[in-house]
Amino acid sequence: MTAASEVLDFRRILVALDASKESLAALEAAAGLAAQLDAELTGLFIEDTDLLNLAALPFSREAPALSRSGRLLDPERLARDFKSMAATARQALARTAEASHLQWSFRTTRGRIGAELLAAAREVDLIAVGKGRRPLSGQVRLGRHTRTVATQTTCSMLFASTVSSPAEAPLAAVYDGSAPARGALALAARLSEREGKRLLVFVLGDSPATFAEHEIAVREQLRALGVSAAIRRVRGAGLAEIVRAVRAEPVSLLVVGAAALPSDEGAALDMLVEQSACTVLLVRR
Amino acid sequence: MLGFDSQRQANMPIEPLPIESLYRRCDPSQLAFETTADLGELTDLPGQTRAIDAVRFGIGIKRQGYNLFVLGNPGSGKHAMMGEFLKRTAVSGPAPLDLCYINNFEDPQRPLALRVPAGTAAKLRADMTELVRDLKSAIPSLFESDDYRNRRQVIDEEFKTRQEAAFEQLQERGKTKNLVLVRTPAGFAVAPVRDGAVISPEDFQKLPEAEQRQTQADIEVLQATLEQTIRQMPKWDKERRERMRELNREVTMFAVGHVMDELRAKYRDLPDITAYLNAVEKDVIEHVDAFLATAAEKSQAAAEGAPTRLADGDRFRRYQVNALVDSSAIVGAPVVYENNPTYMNLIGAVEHMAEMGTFVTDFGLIKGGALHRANGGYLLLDAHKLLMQPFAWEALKRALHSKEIRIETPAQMLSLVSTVTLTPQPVPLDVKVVLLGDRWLYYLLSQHDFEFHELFKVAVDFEDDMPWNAEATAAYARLFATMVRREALKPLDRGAVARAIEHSARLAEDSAKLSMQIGYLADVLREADYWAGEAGRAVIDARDVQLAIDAQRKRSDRVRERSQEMIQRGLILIDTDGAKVGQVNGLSVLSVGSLAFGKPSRITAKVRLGRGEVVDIERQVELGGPIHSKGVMILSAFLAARYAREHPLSLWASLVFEQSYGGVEGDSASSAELYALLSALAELPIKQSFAVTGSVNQHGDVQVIGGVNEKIEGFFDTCAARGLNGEQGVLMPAGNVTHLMLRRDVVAAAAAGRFRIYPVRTIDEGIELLTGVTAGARDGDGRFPEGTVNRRVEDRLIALAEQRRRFGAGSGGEPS
Repeated sequence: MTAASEVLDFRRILVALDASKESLAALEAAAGLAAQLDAELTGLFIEDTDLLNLAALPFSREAPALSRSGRLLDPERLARDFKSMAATARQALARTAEASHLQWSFRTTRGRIGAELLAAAREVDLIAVGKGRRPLSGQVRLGRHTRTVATQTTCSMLFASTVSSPAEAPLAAVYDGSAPARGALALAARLSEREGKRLLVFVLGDSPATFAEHEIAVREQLRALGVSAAIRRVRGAGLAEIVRAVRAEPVSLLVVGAAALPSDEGAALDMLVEQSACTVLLVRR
Repeated sequence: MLGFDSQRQANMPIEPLPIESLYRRCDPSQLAFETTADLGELTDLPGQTRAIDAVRFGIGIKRQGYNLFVLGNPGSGKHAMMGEFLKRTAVSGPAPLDLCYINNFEDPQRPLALRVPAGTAAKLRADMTELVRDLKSAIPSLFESDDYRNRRQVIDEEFKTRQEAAFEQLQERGKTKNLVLVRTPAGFAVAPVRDGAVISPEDFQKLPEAEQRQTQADIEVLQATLEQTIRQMPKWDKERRERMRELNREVTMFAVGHVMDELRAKYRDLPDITAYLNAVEKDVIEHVDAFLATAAEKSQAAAEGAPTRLADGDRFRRYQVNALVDSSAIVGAPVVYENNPTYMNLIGAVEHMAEMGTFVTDFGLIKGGALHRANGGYLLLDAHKLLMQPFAWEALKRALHSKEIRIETPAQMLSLVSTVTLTPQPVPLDVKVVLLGDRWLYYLLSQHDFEFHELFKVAVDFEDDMPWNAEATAAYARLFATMVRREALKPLDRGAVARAIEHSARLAEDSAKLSMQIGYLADVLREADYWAGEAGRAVIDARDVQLAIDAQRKRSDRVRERSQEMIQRGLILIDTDGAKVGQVNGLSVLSVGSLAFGKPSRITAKVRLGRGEVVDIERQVELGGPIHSKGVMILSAFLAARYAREHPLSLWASLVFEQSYGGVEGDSASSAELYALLSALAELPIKQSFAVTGSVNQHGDVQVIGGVNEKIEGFFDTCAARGLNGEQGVLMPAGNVTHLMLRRDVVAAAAAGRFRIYPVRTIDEGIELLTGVTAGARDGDGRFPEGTVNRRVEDRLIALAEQRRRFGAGSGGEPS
């Protein structure tokens, strides 16, 4: 059980970078978090072997998004693209980290994305990824590789939104009485204090008694931390209720303990990431 | 040389003028009122029948080109009279239309002019401001409503679903063939997979050849479908945008429609406004984004915790109404006087404002000119001011010719620039222009501007003076009463009125006329009012008027005093007693600002043997003007014709204005010059107690001159300063007697017999007065009697001719 004053300690944060808009949003969110928590930032660029294998096939073609006709998927061009993207990602990391005076490192690896991320997750406390988008519609989604990692790792995860929230939007935590929820609340309280932002706590419950019990626990924990917060009751413990509550008012960061998610964590994450406009921090400890 | 004492004393045939000839009094006892408060106002200026008839005609005739040019001297009251007349006429005229400029939604560079009934422009402007205010709240609230969001979301979802479905379909088709869609750095590709991973080239080679071919074929088919799907994306997106636009149009029409319907109903009788409102409605629907808050505005509103407000930036200017002319306060037709008739003040202008380092403009920056304000009525302009302004005269003529007001810059007018600017729709022009100016300007324009008479066919010629009779006296009294009332002056008593009328005759320089220089008279009344106030009088009397006249003169009298001082100090040599041969006192008038004064000048003549030349020294050194030279030539001709009919005129004579350094013009001194010449030839001295003025013709008749009062007063002042001795006086043309309105001190001296004024008709009369010797007429032998001036002159000329003959015979040549 996490003590009231005990705050999750993220010392190493990994950002999966591919120079896309989403990964750069993840970099920004991770850097912000690292700056508040004095964490070290590691950038990881993965040269996808699936793509390399495809490009090596003599008949492989690609359909560029902004072209009316397809073209050969050239291995050499792909290699050049990977190098270019890695360089761009590294520059972005360096620029962002140095602006916040963070310790940082960057590495490039080659392999299958899911596997490489899972391997990297073993060495860090938090993985930051951008919320993915569907290939053609651009609709926000979890993403195949991210989903794999999110459901298989024990590491906490940050799903960064590309939609910027209003500057005055509060931080929010979801509280269900679990140990990860207490950790999430403590982390959210600490971040709100440091960032000077308001804190909003969504207390889950299915009866007045549960609400009362959870509210008392939240107030005690916050009192110990010296932080005040606004409390919103969310009836029912379902994910849909949480999402609806989050959508009702703008939130910059939603901190959720993993225990709050239903047993089908993958589907739950899909829903949470796709339907909440804000950045989501999933706390696993 | 004979002296006065030794000369035969001729009988003086000419008597000095009687006192009543020197000044015409206006007898207060003949005025049938106590003060001007008893009198009614005058509606028309007295003595201006010709001008008033011309004005009535010019205003009445409604044809192109019948504009008016009012000509007359400054201060003639033409300006006030025209203003009054036009105001009276305009009251019963039709009310002018209001003029607005509105945005041309089809072509913003060409704003549209809207002419609407008086008072409508301001209402329409207010209504449009209100409309925008309404729409600024109504449209965003509709677009932020759940209904709108839901409908928009439905469209978005529909298209996203369509895209997703296409993608999913591809994925599903691929799955059955062990193919997946993968992202590449630039797009998408179809990849063969085994166990969830893209198959490596090595593994692919290990597949049976048939399977390889099949996989390749499957990939090609799926790839083709993928490419086709991607090609459809822009089309689908376009369809989505169209649907969104249609939704927005529908929602906007809902918001705008009922508001516009109200306005259309309000202006249903004005089709131009209805058409404008329709255009506004269409534009609002097409540009509804302007009414929706920008992200910045939303963010600011959120930060302030206040409802979102739309910034009043340029985006709503297009719906404003630029009311150029608001005639709501005008009764009847407009009467506009433009005091500063610059091109822009006349025609209007398109102004610009600085924005981001460049100058921009729109229909809201169109400024109206005097022509816009006077359209449907009358425009008064000072011709001189108008002609002084670059391009203004040409622009006015163009507008009158084309009967429309076209706002363009002078550079545009002259086609000097071709930068993009506004071309406001021209406005039909129906105006009567009244130009006010001096006569010379009218004649100058008549002569040099061929369009002038086409456009200003009516000349309103103001008289400078009017006959002084009983009616005129009564009319002037009422004129003064009118001035007193309008300017809130103290009333004038009879004495004051009489004195002011006398002064008017003096201004006219004619005892039979009254000056129409109303402006100057008004100044005298204003100043008399001041002096009466200083003296604590409630009614202005003759003393106040006299004080005003004297003080006015005193204020500008410095140069005259200086001139007289130089004479008294002997710096300028003028004799006022004794007698001199070949020397006479001439009189001249100097004008300095508003003051004209006379001063004596010594004119001398010298003669010797010569070839018949009378040299005008002033002319020789280019100090004499052509009229002066003409006078000298005339007197030369007189001399030759009278005295040298049968022998050559063998003299060389020089004439000079002594101590004259500023030039001499006019022929009013020609009689004086002739007297000096006759004196020199006859060797008879001229009495220096006299001064002489008058021009002379070839028959020896003395002719009228100008400024007779000032000239007499000038010599009087010189004599008076030295002490009047009873011998002093002035010889003036008899024809000028009617012009005498002399100063009171001059009249008083004459009444006391200390100063005399002689009316002279001929040179003979004058020379007799000046020399005291009979001029003499030819007898039966054709000779002048012995001892007469003419005999002495003739004898001298004959002697000179004989001398010349002898001289020529002896030397074989002519003397130079």
